[in-house]
Amino acid sequence: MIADTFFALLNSDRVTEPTRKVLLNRLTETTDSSAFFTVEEFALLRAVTDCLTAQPAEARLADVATMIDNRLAAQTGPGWRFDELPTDGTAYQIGLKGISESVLLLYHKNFTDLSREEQNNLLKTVQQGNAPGETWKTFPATRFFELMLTETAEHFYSHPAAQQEINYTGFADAQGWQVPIL
Amino acid sequence: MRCYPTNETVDAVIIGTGAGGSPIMARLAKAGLKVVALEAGNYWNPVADFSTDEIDQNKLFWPHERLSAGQDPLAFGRNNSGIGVGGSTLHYTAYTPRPQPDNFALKTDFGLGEDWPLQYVDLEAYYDELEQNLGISGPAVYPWGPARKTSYPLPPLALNTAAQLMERGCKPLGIKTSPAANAALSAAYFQEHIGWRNACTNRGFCQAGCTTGAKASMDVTLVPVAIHFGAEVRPNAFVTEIIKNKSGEIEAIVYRKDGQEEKQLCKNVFLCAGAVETPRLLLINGLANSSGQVGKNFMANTGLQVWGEFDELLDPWIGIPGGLISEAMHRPVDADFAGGYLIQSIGVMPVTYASQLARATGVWGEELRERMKAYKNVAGINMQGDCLPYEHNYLELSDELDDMGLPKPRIHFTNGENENRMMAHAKKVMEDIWKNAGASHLWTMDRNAHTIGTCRMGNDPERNVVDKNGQSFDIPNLYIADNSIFPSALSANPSLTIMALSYRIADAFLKGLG
Repeated sequence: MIADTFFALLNSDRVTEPTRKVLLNRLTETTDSSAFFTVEEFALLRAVTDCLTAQPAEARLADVATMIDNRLAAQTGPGWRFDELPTDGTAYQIGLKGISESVLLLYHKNFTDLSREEQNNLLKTVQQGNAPGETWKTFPATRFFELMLTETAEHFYSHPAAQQEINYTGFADAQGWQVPIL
Repeated sequence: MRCYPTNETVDAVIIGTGAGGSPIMARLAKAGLKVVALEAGNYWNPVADFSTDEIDQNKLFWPHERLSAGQDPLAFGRNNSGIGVGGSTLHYTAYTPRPQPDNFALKTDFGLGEDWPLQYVDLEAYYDELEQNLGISGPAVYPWGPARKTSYPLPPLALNTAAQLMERGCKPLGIKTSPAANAALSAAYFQEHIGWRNACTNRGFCQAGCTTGAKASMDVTLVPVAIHFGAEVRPNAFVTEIIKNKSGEIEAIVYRKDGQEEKQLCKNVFLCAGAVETPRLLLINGLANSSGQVGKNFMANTGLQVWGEFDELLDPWIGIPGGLISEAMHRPVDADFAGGYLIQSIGVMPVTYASQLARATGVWGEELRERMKAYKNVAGINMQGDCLPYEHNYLELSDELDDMGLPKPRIHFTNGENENRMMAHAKKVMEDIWKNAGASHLWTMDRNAHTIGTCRMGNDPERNVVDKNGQSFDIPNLYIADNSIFPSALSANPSLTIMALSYRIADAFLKGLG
């Protein structure tokens, strides 16, 4: 997935040692046994985050679910949360339960058994606050979706594979940059 | 570094080492006082500890959870709150415009908001001094505000691509622009007791920590000065209690360090923990609140951003993010609101951009991937405007305890009519600028920036927490010096004014000692 040119750059003197260490760690950050979520929750979160980042399960650029799982297991966070949501870990657990309920009601299936198009449609209803089910009657779906989507986007684009896709090389700044003149 | 035993009664304990605490630390130490600064976070070595990676650098943001309530709940952490020696200056963008004189008299001019109990001229000499201390890069002639008594010590930094585009977009509209003042070095710079700092290398990661020392965060500028003159900086010391003696004065500060509870004896306390932690500590300890104003009047600058995609390759992470400024909207002639705003160009790092794009527009899946493929072609502009104090915007203690076992603060924030009108005005102006510059796919991030208010400074003890010298009306040896004492939000970015106020508070204190 990651081009040889990335590693050539990463191992060059254009990258500082602390940066190299962080990016190499991120490449190896994987787990199949979930640290925070149950196995079922984790499988669902993985399918949902794959959908949010348009990744095929068989050829993932970045395993966002693992990054969220590790973040919650480490009990770290951004230093704030919406007052209307519970703590992040609980919010994810309730939100994932809500998604499962909605899928069952609408499709009589599991989220992971839906086509990508069906998954997209289902998540759209959560984002817009129209998803059916008991959970969403008391739990703010749109805020939960905002939390999950924002964290997903942050993790995905912190991964070297996704940064490669957008041609970003800003981590290679040990010698600084020339400011482009338009 | 000189160290003081906890059972020695030092002249001053300073809580917090950001833009509020560090100038006081430097001033009091230079005057020969025994000073201990307690900092909740680490004393970083940027070269060894900072990476060029946004997620890793989240360690610079205040980690203890805050509850964000109201109709426009604020993002804290990355958006406005730092931890570590240097505080939020570790991740500030280093915009350092001065406010204009009328910023301090909003009530006089508009009948809304509050006047400050002091004026521009009371701070002017401190702005002059700070710009030299920090090594501010700025234009030879700045087109707005009163004539300057001193020039910026260094010429402006190179304009990044967003700044060049803002120049291009403003010209046909007749909107005047200028290279901005930034607290980062456009050339190597020497200051006594600090030594040489190298010129900025245009890494562009100012908001994720500067590794070169070019950005004037407090840890590489005023903190070394304070240490030179004998101040002690005690990192990883999280303050929990402020202890009064029988006569009602503060005699000691309790903090946790390395899992142990410690108590530092002191004659005076300077609380400089910012507009969330300062009122929170006072409320937890039931102090300095005879006015009932602690936690009230929370403000956050109107900070709406407009983003667009351009045909040219922009590499938006390169260079100082806020290279260009316009104060043409300081008091717009067609305004239907009180006050006004600045316009500033903005560069952006990739994770921040992805995060904001997702949050503000809600795009995901294929669309998110496609929009992010244009990352190297994006540039932004933002406003930095006034925000009025309202009764409905305040901080309170919640029933929920944080990881330190202390009540989490809940902050209520809803923009009022004045803020909404100002943001609508700015949105239109900035969209026009961006269209003229050649942008497509415009999108807007509704946003408020900075934490301001909650321990207002003023002349009337019934309506304010501290006087114009930062001294508590209730406890004579308690001073507050940070953004919590601002009576109004100002339209200039707050850091430089926080520092100037702190110098002034320190000088008033020293004068009082005789």
